[in-house]
Amino acid sequence: MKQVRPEAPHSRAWRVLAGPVLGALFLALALLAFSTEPDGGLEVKAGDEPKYQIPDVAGLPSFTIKNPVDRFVLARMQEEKLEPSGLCTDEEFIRRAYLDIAGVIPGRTAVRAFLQDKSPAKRERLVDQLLADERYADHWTIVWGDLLREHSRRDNQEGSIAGSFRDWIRQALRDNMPYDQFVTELITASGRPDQNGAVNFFLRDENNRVETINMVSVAFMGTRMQCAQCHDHPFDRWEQEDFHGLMAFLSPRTVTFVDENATLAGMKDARGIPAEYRAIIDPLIDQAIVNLKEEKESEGEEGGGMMMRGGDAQPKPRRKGAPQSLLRQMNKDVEEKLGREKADRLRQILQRFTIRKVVERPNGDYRMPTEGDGVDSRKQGGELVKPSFAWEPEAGVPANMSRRAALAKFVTSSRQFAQVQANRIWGQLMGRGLVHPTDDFRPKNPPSHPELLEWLTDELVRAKFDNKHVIRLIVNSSAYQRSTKPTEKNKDDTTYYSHAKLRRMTAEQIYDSLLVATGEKEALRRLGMPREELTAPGLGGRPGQAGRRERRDNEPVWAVEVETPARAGSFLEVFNQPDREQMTVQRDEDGSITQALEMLNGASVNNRVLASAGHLAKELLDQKLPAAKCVEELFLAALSRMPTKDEMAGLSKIVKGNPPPPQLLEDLMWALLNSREFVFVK
Amino acid sequence: MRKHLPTGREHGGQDCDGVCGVSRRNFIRTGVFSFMGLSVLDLMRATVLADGADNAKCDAVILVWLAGGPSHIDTFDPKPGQATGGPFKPLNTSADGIQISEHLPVIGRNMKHASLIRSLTSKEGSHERATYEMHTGYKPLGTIKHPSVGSVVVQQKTRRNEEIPSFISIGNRAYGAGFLGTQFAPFYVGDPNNPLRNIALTQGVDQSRFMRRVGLLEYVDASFSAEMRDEVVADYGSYYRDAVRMMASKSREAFDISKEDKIYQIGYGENNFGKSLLMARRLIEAGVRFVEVTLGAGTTTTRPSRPSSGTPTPSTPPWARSSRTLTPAAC
Repeated sequence: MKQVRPEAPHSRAWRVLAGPVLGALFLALALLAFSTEPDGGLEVKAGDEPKYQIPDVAGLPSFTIKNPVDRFVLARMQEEKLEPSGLCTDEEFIRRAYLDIAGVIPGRTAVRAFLQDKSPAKRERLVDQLLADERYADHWTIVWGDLLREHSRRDNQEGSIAGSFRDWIRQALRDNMPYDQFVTELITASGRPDQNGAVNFFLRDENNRVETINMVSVAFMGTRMQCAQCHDHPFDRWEQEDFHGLMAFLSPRTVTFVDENATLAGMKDARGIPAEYRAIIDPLIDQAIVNLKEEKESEGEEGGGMMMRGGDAQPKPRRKGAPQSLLRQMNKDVEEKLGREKADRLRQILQRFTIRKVVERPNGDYRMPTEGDGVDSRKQGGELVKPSFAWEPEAGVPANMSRRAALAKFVTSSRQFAQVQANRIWGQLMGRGLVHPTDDFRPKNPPSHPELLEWLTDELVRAKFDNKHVIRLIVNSSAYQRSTKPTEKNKDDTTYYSHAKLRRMTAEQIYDSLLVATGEKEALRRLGMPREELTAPGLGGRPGQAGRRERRDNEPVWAVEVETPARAGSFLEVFNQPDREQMTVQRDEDGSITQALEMLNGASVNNRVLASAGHLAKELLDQKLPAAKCVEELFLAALSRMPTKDEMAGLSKIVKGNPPPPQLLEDLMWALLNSREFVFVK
Repeated sequence: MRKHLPTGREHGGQDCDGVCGVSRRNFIRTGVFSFMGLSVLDLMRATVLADGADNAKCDAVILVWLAGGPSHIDTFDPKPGQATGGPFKPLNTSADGIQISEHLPVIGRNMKHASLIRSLTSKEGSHERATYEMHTGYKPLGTIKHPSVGSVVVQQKTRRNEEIPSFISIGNRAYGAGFLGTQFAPFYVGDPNNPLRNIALTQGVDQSRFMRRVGLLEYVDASFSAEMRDEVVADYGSYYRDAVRMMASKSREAFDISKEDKIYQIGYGENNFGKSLLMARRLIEAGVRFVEVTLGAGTTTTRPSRPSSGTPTPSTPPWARSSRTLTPAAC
């Protein structure tokens, strides 16, 4: 084992300065510290001591130290008396980096080019390429969809617009919107979902404040505070008042309204409503539009509208132009003429056309709930609760600021907010968070590498919340690039990153990788890309299509364009896509018999391995390649590597001919896609 | 008459009073069902105690989980005459002194065969956390995933039928095996109308070609599985073995409720829930140890379902229909 030995303090400065890139960085860091200014957002500022020193490690081969990340990780391993495994091979690296950054395996051309590239900087260059690719947004949209519980199915939308949340997330990632801005836009979102998809952050839960506060505390602050809704947290410091202080930021409750004009217009234009209904409802809709116009004029009202549900303010009197009055009237008329059953059916159809919007309203009082809850509260039910940011309860809330804006400010100015995001990116790429699980920041669950977490957090803050900067740092480290193969001495380690964690692809990664491996031409044509250009840059799909399409089993689309949550029994659901009801910070990698059957007999694999038009097997046959060459190409396509000599020798006895029989190529491709090497990421 | 009982085993029937076909011993031995609010582990303990000297053993379990289900005061604990009582009339049952809701007359007639637990309380207010606790016996923790009761049962008990999975969840996904490992996780049936997707060979692939494919698979998989000695890799392979075994198995007919007499299909209810229960019974007969049937919106990890305004209220609430289907058709 290579000794990791601390050096004398005087040599530390020298070594740091010696690094051509690192020198400037470290010197700067030594002078920097951070503060949370109330108005300036989170910054790393000059002045105080940093919370860490970048450790110096010596006596290790140079490949183990690629950037500062490695110094922290190796120093910790040294404390634990662990040794690092070797680096992964180029074949392993390109596959891992593609899947982690772009969510899909590389195409044959990309693999071949990468393997032939002799430049020592080729890994860094690949990372840059992938980060610039639109597939980056596609992949991380799914990660964020899990966290924000994005769903696009019309029947789940509850007055929103199918796919508009995902479109917004995907566009923000394409634009590489700084993370603090991303969160601010979510928390302060106003408007209609077709104008601003971020409002789905509220529409998602019908403006249920408890759900929204849970999202803020878990997804953005890495704190599980749900139980403090009803009582003090049993093993953390949170008290019931902390939770309700957060709730007060979302007061008054009713920020979502039905957009009456848009809803009536939607009903009028709706397709697929049978003619027998139309004859009855069209005159009613027309009348409602007229009524609404008159009422608006007489009220001189802008923006407002009817309240969706009981809130803190008094509901307005019922008006004739309101869609709900209209729905009532329609229901009555249709029931009279066509019967109860049809009336119910129509109401279900039309309710989907209710379009809501989020409207900023004046600050209102929040009171402690009176029903049942409140067992631990020092406050009585009905007592006024002031907005208070649980992580900094002393800080006052500016009276002249909108509550939501104030909450966004508190969140994005908090040090923990940045820590949580740095840790999340780390956990996503490394398979385990420094704080693990990544949504469980609390004193009794400390980070495995506290100094590394502080350093990464500083990097994120100083890069102005550019997520890609942190991804780049991590993927370019030796810690990330280690082999999954453990050594005798580190095989029991699961915490200190001595060897890479073997992971199974997510549902979406398998789904998309099947397309790439089999060269599904239709899918790739839709992307405007010939198959062989399935390499960065420009590999991604089109904007504005998120999840609007009904998924049929064999329809070639990227997973990011499939409706969420996937339907029961569909490929993505079978491979553990979450239901998007709970926040998911880490995907379930469990296998199942159902998954095995899907791969063995399902259409997603079997239709695509066919040597028919647009598929790889057909292309190889058309090129009249000899059997050995075909085997090579299939290995490259499915496993991103060439067959070994042994494999080649064995297969040459089975796959013969010039060209070989089509069925044999199909069968070999089927076998490669069913192999564990295909779904596990080394 | 007793063909529909959830067991393939002999039973005495000495308890049967002619009103129904359920004997107490068989009811306990073969099936325990729970409404929200009872931990199944507790129930199993209770049933063992109830049978006392008989030393009853539970060979198989059907857990009926009504997610976000009906309130106890509307069903099994009407608390008549109390301020905390439910809105429905109490109904005398075949068990002395036990009254349940007027909407459960069939269960009422069979009540003397059931163990009813009314003493369970909890401070847990969150449905999601409570569902976890009831399935696992533990409060959810961030750091550890506890196995659900079905996984514990199949881990503790030998398989009764090697060809089909021992733990099957129908409806919504049951909680899994947690730290016990995925070999004890439930086999999941999402749609009772199409329970075994992809069980048949794909078009154009006959038996011999499938064998050739599997041979190639074994070959190209060899280097990876030799190198990666990880447990998850081994588990993933075991699912392939189980899948192929199931493809070849005759036992999978247990999933096919069309093999059942029409009278039982109608009696259990020709809706997804009724079909699931009938399938559960067939599966237990075929040797499955534990079947969980779920009724309710979302999955077991869903947030409490909210009635959306305007959704028509079914004339019979789902749980009342389920209580019909839960009881034997011949009753």
